[in-house]
Amino acid sequence: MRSTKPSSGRFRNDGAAVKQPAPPGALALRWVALCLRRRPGPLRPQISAALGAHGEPLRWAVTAVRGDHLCLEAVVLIGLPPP
Amino acid sequence: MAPDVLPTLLVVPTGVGCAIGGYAGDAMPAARVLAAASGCLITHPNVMNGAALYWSDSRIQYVEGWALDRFAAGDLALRPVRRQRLGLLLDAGMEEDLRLRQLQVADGCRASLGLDIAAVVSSEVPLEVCLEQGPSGASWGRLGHPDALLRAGERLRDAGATAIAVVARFPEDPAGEALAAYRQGSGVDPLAGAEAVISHLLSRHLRLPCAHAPALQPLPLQRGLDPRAAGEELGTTFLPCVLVGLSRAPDLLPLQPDSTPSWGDGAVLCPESIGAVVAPAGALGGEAVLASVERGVPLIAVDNPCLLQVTAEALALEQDGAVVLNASSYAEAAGLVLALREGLAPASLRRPFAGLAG
Repeated sequence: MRSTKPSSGRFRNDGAAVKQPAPPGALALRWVALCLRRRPGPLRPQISAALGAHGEPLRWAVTAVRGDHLCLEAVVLIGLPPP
Repeated sequence: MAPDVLPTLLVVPTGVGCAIGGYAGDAMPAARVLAAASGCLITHPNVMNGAALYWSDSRIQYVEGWALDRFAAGDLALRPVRRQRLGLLLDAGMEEDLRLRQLQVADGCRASLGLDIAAVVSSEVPLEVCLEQGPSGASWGRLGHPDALLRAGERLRDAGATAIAVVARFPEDPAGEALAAYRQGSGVDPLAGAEAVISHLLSRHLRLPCAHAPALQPLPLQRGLDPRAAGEELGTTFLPCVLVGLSRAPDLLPLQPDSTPSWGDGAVLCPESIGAVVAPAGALGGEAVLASVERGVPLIAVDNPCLLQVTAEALALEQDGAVVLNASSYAEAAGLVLALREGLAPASLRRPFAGLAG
C-alpha cells in the first residue's frame, strides 16, 4: 500500500512498556510496546498474558529478540463489546 | 478438500518493509507458485492486494489477518464458497469526489466482473485514522472512532452482506520523504499497519471476511517508479483487489474446544489440515507463524529481507522442537512445499547428506 507520513506516534525505544492514552468512550484502541523475559515453553501464552494486562490483544508481533527478552509491539482493545 | 493437496499458509507481515510483499501486491507471484505447488494456499490481503491489480485462483483462499491468526491457532475453520455478498463500508470522513470514485469502482466490479454487492453504508462519523510507527520501525495505526466502524459493519451484516470491504480516508502526505522512498522501492509502508488494525477489528467483531482499502487522492505522474509500487498508480482507488478478493473469501466457522463441528456437507478447511507455513525468515514473530509452529506445522523460512531480525534462531524455535526448513527464495519454498505434498523428506533433496548414526 502507498506510503504517507505517520501523523502521530513517536515512541520511546528503551525497552520499557509504552502505552498511548486511550480516548474517553466505551471502546478504544491502545498501542503498546513492551519487553518480556521468556520462560521455557510455548511463546504465545506468555505473550498473551503480557499483553492481556493492557487490554485484549488485537494485533501483535515480536519485533526484536535480545537474549531471553522478547520485544513486542501491539494494538490492544479496551472496552470492546462482545462480538 | 482433495486428499492430495497440502494446505499451506503464506504469511508476509504487513508494514515491516519486506522486499517481496512490502509494496502493491508484489508477493502475488510467490502466492501463485505456492498455490500451484500446494494445491491449496491460504493467505492474507497484504499478499494479494495490488490496488487495480489482483489475481483470482480457486486454489487461493483470501483470509484477513485476524482470521488467519485464529485459523492457525485452531479457533476457526474455513469454508470455501462460490461467492460472497459484499457490503461496502465508506468512511464518512471521505470527500465527495473520493466517495464517488469508490462507488464507481464498485459499480464497475458489478457490471464487468459480476460481483454481488449487497449494500453500501457510511460510518456515522469520520473514522479518523491516525498512523503510527513503533520502535522497530514497523507501521501501526489506530482509529479515533472504532465504535463507528463496528456499528457500520453491523448495519451491512443486517442488510445481508456476508463479507465487508472497508474504505477509510487516510492522511495525505504527497510531498513527504516516506512516500518518495516508497515510490522508489525502499522504506516501510506506514499505511499498512493502520489498515491491518481496521480489518482485524471488524473481522474480530463480525466474524465475517473483511478487508480494507485506503482512500487517497491520486498522485502526480512520476518517472522512475519502482515496479513493485506501480499497481497503486493505475487507477484512482485501491478498491478493486479488495472486492475481488472478498468475492470468494471463505466463510469463517468458529470452532469450540472439545466439541464436534456440525456445519453440514461440503469441503471445509480445518486447522488440523495445515501442512506447511511459509514466512519471511526475519519476521517469524507473528501469531499465525508461532501458532502453526506450536501445533507442529513445518515452517519454511524464506530469505525475504525486511527491517526485523526475528529469526527461527533468535526465537529458538528448533530448540523447542519446531521443524524449520530454510529457503533462499519463494521458488525454493515452492519446491519444499511440493516435496512435503509428495511425502518426500526435504533433507533428501540437499547435499551433503549425512548417514544414519549408530
